[in-house]
Parts: sequence; C-alpha cells; structure tokens
Amino acid sequence: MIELDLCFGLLLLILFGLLSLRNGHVSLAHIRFICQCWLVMITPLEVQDFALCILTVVLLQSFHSFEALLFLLLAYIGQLYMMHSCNLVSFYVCLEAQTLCVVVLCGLLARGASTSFSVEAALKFLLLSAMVSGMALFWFSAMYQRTGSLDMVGQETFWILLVMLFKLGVAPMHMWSVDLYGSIPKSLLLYLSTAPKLSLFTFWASSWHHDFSVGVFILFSMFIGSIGAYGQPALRSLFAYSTINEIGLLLLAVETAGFHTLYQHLGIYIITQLLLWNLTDKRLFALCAVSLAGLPPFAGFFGKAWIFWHAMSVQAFSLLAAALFCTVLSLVYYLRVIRLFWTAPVHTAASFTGAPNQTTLTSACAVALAFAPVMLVKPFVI
Amino acid sequence: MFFENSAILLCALLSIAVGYTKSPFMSLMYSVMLFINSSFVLMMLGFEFLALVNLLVYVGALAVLFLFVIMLLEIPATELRAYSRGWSTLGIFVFVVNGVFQITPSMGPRGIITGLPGAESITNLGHALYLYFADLLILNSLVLTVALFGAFAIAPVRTTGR
Repeated sequence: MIELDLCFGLLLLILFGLLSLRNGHVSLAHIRFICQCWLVMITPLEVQDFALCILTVVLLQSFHSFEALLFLLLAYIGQLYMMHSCNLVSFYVCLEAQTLCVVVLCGLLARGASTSFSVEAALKFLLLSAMVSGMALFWFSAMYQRTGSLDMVGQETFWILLVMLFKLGVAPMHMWSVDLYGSIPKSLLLYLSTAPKLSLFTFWASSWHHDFSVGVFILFSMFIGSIGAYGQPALRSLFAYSTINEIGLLLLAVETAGFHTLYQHLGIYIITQLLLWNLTDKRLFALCAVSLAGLPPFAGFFGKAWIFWHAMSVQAFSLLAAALFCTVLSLVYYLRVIRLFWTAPVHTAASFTGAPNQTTLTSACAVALAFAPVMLVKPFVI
Repeated sequence: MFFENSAILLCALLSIAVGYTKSPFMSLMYSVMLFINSSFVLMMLGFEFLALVNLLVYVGALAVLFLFVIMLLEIPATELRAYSRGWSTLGIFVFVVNGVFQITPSMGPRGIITGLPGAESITNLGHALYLYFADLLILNSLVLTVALFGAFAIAPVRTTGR
C-alpha cells in the first residue's frame, strides 16, 4: 500500500532529521531537499496528484524550520489520499490530517512580535474547524444509520456539503478565512490558499455525488467577494475577499459540471497565489491584480472565460449573469491595487526581504501568467 | 418494548435536567446518571463493547475531569448563568417542538446488514479497525500524534518564540 510506504518514509525522515541536524555539516537545506525528493518518489497516477506533488515541492521551499516540513509532509499524505478516497471514513481522516497540520503550523510559526496574532489565528481555526468536523461526523453517522453504507448516497449529503464548503471558505461560512489571512505568516498563507483547495476540489470532482445545487453558495460567494473588499484597508484581507470571489467562480464551474474548466482556473489561480505571496518586487502585485481581475492579456482572463463559456453552453444564464456582474464589481478594487503598486515610485529598499532563491519561482510564475494565454486561446479563436 | 422506551425517555429527562438545574454540582451528577443510562441503553441495543467503553471513558475520565474542574475552581456563586438567562428553557422548548414536528432524523428501515454476520460487536470492531480500515488506522495514529503535540505547540511561548 502506497499510503503505508509514505507514512513509514515520513517516520524515517523524522528520525533522520532529528539525528542528523545535530551535526554541524547538515543544514536544514539538505533535509528540505531530501523531503522534496521523498515527495517525488511516488509515481503520480493522475494529473492532480502530479500537480499536488509539484505544488508541495515548491511550497516546501519557503519554510525554515524542521517541524514545519514534517507537518507539511503529513498534510501532503492526507491530501493525496483525500483526492482518491471514495469512503466517508477515509475522507474524514484525511481532512483532519490536513486541517490539524495547518492549525498546528499556524501556532508554530510565530516569530517574535507576531506571536499573539499566530496564537489567535491557530485557536480560531482550531475551534471552528473542529466544531464543523464534528458536525460532519454526526451526518456521516446519520447516513450510516439510515443506509448502512459509507458511500455517500442520500439526503444527508447536503449537510456534509456544507462542511466541505466551510473548509473551502465559501461565503456564508467565510469569516475564518478573512480573519486568518491577516494573521499568519506569508509562507503558511501561501500553503493555506492553494493546497487544501486543490485536494478538496479534486475530491469533489471525482468522488462526491450530490443532488443539490450549490447556486445559493455561488451567489453568496460572488457578491460577498466582490463587495466585501471595498472597506478593507489591509492588502491581505482584500486578497482574502478576492479568494472568496474566485472560489465562487470555481463553484460555478462545479455546478455546471465543467470540470475541465474547474481545473484550468484552479491551476491559474494557484500560480497567481504563488506569485502573490512570494513577491520581492512590489510592482508584480499589479501583474497579479490584473490577472485576478480577469483582464485580457494575462492568463486570469482565459480561466474565467472558459468557465463562463462552459456556463453559457450549459445554459445557466442567470448564474452567468450574476457572475459577470460580480466580476465587473470586483474589477474596481483590483484597479486600486494596480494604481498603488504600478504608478507609485518604488523607493523602499526594504522590499527585498525575501530569500534570494525565490526569484526563480517568482519570475517563472510571472512568465507563466503572461504567456500561458498562448496555449489557452484556442477555443475562442475558431 | 415499554422497558426500552422508558429507558430512552429517562435519558431525555436526565439531559434536560443537566441544563435545568442551578448548581453546577447537581448538573454534573445528572450528567453522570445520563452517562450510565446511555451505557445501559447501548447494552440493550446489543452494543456491549461500546457500552463498556462508554462507562470507562465518560464516567471514568470525563465526569472525573469535570468534577476536578468544579472542585479546583471553587465556584462561589452556585448558580449557572445559562439557567438565569433562560437558555435551558429554550432547550426544553426545542425538545418539545422536535417531539411534535420531528425535525431531527429518526431511524430508517434496517434492512441492510453490514459487518460480519453472526459476529459480536467487538469482532466487527476488530475487523473494521485492523483489517478493513487498517491503513487509515495508521494514518489516524499520526494525526492523533499531531493533535496531541500540537496542543503544546499552539501554546504561546514566553521567550523569543521560534
């Protein structure tokens, strides 16, 4: 079993790290390299596995403590198995694996002055997600009691869907993500906004069957995501609301059953987030904002255009009209970000606070966002 | 059938009483009686392992924990705030409404038999934990380790932090 091999490998990595970091010649960079090698040793079966593996290899680069690497690797095992699970028990165990690791990382990565913020974030996230997971367990047991199987059939799927939407940060249940985005360090924010969403959406697209329309959540997410950012003074909470907007759009892709558009837009969104939270040069914020707003020369436009095109072909016209309206509404606060970061003179030398080896990643993401449309423009040209 | 129904009704009455008394100590005593009653009902349903584990965990660990908390905190004013604000009356109201309108789900037709036929509940539990879900058991043990040590990690560090 692959999962047992991964767990055993994780235990060996823990022992290796603990025993070899005492030596002066072994630094954290070596351990991190071995962790990244461990990640690529399992042959990915599908493209989403491959995406998660590459994403985690990239994300491991921003963490600077040994325990953080171990928690990320355990969360990786949980996410990998969630993407392939078709049983409720395995879904729950993998969900708790990744959630608890993120909670502990919130509290663990406190540095000096931001300790109370991190503790507050960790406690909020822990209490809310633990209560919601408890609710999920209640409805799992109700489903088992009624049907005797754990294979996701029946009318209790609505309540379990609510739990999944909470973990994604969908609008009536979005307050935790707005609070959390301002309080955690950038590397963890980068992880939190990309990897759990990838695994949850893959689980939803491959194994989760429900009869209910998520239209209400789409409308809530898009309206709150486009209007809520207007009062925010801080850049992080502004991008938190833009994330809620994007999640609403991805839910629209799931609702119209356009799973190819879902993965397309999710991939572009992940590259944008990787660029956004890894920046050393502030002018690239403007590039991210243009891509997130969905303006034409960059890849964000094509992600949204594919989703809207598919919604039009499925004839979900009312949802499509609401989505277009909210995209227009959200454009204005992106323009504010663009104005702030492109036209203002970059006179602070303190903008180069990131580690020097992040420039490869940042420039790769910027190039990807600028030139990926070449590969995405084909359905619209014919 | 009257005996089982009255045992379950006693469960309901005790759980109302937990929230409806003024003193925390009586609330704890009612909850201990509720745990023992629930273990009794589980035994009648045929879940003998679960009944014993219930007694062990709920009465032996949780009720003792609450008792120590009440003892050590030395709550001088012996009136619970939930009582004085009326929340427990709201709870009774919801319970009565549920009895009339049946909002929470009830048991459906039990025609599906899962697990090994003819085996006791502990055999089914062993089959599920160590044979069917064995890989999840190991993953879950790592998750529980994270939860255990994570409680220490979240606690604020008084010195320079990590």
